[in-house]
Amino acid sequence: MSLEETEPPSQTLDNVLGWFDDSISLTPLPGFTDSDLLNEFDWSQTWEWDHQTQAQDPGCDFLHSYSQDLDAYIGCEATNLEVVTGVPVIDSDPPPVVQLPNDQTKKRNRDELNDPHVVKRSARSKKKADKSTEVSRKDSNKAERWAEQLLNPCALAITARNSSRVQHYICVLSELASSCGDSNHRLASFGLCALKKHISTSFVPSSTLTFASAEVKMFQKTLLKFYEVSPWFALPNNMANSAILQILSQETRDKTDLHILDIGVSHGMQWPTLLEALCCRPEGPPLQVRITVVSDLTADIPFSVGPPSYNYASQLIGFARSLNINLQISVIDKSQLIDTSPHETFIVCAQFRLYQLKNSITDERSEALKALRSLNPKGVVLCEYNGEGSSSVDFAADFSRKLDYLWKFLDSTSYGFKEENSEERNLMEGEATKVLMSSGDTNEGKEIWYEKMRKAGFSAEAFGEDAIDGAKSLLRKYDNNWEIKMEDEDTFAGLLWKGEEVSFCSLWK
Amino acid sequence: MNHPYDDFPHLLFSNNTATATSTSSCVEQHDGISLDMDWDWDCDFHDLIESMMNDKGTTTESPPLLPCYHGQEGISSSTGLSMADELDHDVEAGESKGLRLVHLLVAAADASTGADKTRELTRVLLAKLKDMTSPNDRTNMERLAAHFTNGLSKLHREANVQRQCGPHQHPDVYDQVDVMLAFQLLQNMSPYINFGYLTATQAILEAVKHERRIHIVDNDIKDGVQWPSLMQALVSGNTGLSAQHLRITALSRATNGKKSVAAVQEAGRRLTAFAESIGQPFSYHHCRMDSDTFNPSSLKLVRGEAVVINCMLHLPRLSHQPPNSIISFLSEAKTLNPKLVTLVHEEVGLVGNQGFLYRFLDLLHQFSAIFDSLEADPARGFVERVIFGPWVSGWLTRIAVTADDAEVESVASWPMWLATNGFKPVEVSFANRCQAKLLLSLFNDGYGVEELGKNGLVLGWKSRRLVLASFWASCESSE
Repeated sequence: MSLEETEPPSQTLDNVLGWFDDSISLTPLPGFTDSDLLNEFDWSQTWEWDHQTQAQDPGCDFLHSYSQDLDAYIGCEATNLEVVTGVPVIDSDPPPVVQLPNDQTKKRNRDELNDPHVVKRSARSKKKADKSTEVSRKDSNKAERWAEQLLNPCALAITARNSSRVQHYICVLSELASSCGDSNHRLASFGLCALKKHISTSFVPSSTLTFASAEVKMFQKTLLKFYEVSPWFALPNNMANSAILQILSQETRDKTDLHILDIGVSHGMQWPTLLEALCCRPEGPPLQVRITVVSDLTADIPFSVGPPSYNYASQLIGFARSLNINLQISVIDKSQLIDTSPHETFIVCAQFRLYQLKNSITDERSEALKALRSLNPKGVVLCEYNGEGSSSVDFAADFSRKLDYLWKFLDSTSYGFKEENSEERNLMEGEATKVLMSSGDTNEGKEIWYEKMRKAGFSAEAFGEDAIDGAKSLLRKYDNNWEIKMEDEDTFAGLLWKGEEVSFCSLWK
Repeated sequence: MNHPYDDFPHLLFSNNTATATSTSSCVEQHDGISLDMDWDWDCDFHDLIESMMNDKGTTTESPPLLPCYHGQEGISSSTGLSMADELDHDVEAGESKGLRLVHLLVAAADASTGADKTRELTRVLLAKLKDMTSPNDRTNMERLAAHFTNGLSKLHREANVQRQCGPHQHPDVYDQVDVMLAFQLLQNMSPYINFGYLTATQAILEAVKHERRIHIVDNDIKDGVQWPSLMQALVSGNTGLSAQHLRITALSRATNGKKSVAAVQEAGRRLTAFAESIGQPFSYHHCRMDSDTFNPSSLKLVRGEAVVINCMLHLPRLSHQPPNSIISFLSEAKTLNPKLVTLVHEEVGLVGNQGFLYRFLDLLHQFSAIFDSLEADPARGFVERVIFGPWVSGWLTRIAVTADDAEVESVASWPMWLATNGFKPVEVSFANRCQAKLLLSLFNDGYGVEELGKNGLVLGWKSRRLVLASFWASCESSE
């Protein structure tokens, strides 16, 4: 049975477009064909700047006029002013009037002494991980992450109550922070905000862009755009869908229905592709497809809460109807009971939300997993962030992990948006920044999750070849700093950015 | 719950309010007048630097508080809280821009010690500093920060040689004429140069009063500008008896290259011509040193002459003499039994073996004092550019290098070295002291002369020592 998971994103987006058409009219998305894609992502363009403006040397002009003043003053002739001023420092700095459409400040900051080949590009190799290159890549990654080199010591100084140090870092960060600069400048800005908030509860940040505060159309536009430029969610969604289809394919004939428990952050974006794929099965879609969405409006997890009036259910159902799929959607609160029926294949899709349950004494996370187990799902897709986790109450260590996560988001998003300072980008980043203030422990790490799953009675299941191929093929459409790494006999799919783990997908039974 | 960081909030927000617009409006008030940077350097940044260096584990001893000139006035207790209070009173945006610049400079200096790991951070900080400053800015701090930014950038570039592919790597080379001109102008703006010359000359005159033959060995004659006044004094001091004969031997070092040889010879020509014009018996010798070690036997000595060793270390040189070279010179020169050794040097840079950050801040402090002390003058920008730019860069390179080399800079102070290496102090006369004070009276208020022991005079600007002149003789020389 062939699963058509390798559909190009353009079809996916057309689907979604179609789905949206009822309610909103979107501006046409840029041409997005398969083969053109790789060519489109030609990064060399974005890294050049205007060399012409370096012709004049302000230093010489000044001295020239000074020497003229001196003539008058001293009354002697200053003939051969062989002033070879090493017009100093970053000579290739174009004056701020660089006429490029994109944000100039970023260009200026990307100067590297006439060297158009910015050092960090050399780190961008598509080499598959060799341990030593991994380590050195991480080092060179770390070297380019200067914002954290100020933010982390500041956090440490705060915990050490070293006020002169704190003040120093805050002063420096304030000078460098910029909400429209490159990823480092943005991280500096967000991080500084978070630190100030930590220091003083009365501090109110100027404006916080979040999903919840966004206008519905903007929100939809943003999600669409984001899926187009970054696999951050697109890939986990893709793998989850593949997994669902994989599980379904192993089911017996008497299971006519599909019931998905959606504990995720896709806001409906995940399902059109799945519905299409269900349609394309030789035996057609299940008789009934149910999606139970677990909603938690109080959560402070980034990406989990959309605008209050955002309701995609009816659109999704309409779309399904156009495919002749009988779709039902229900939204429940996290504490409500979930009902299952014997005719249905019940699959849990938990993406990026379980971690919010704190590892407190009562161990809510384990409890939740046990509760899921008791529902006897046919399969559980678990996608989570993957970092060096260890729950600690140390503010500085915790903050450092969160910065690490946020950096990966900002950096990869910056590449995705080709450094455009668009509204969509700002909304995504604003929402991501919530992680800095959130109480949850973001990066628990794969090992701990695996242990918890096993403890709850689940066992790991391998992704099929189609799922893996589909994921890899999807990833090729995005920046080549993204990588997918299969481990543990294909039960673990890790998503990496610049060689560092971002998130993982896993399948359980 | 008692919030633990109650002191911080106003710290944060005072920085927030220093926007570009408010800064410029404040600066305009100080049109043409130098901003008085009379901050409490020691305490504002001492804690910070010490804490930063403790992180790196560089210092085993805590750095001493920088020597204060006018006592400890105005220095508040060095707790964070009091600093917070001080900042509360910093209403002037102009001053806070200066403070921000210093923070950025300190951060850049700190990052520059991190090698590869913080290379990008250093670059970003320097870029920001370059954005915020210019050698043509209004305020002293901005201009000074521009020079320091350039200096640090140079260091940064040199540390990353393999990454460069740009053509603009010339050092700051200025025409000799410009340099000489700038020095002349500097003499009008500050007693910095003349203080050393004046006090040394006076001490020499007093020491050789009854000598028939005088032989001065000059470590670094530069353009010889120190000696005409001595010759004049000798000529006018002659009361009919046979004139005192003056011989000057000027040294040049191979390491300084052909330029220094030419300069020494040129100085000789000028001095000879001048001596002739006033009727002073004079002969000039050029001693070329092939290496950095001074060999007294290469000097031509005449029996019965009084030897004076003149060691001026306080001016930006073509190339800095490493301390070892000076030590070797003085040690060897001691064998000549000099009647007088005049030593003039800057009070900056190399204080024991403190870490780079500490020296950096010390240097910043020193230069800001010098900057502040200069008279307003239309030519000031020219002087700053020609002299201060390279001067700052030179010092930064030096302190960066010696930061790694622990053994090099163990000379805590020259006077101490001399005192413990076979030299005895020669007392400063009352006349010398008075003359020095007279010199200062021609310049800005804020200068002062301090006595250092019996044989030293210190030129200071407010609380900062600038130049120290001390006088010695070899222990064996007869009085």
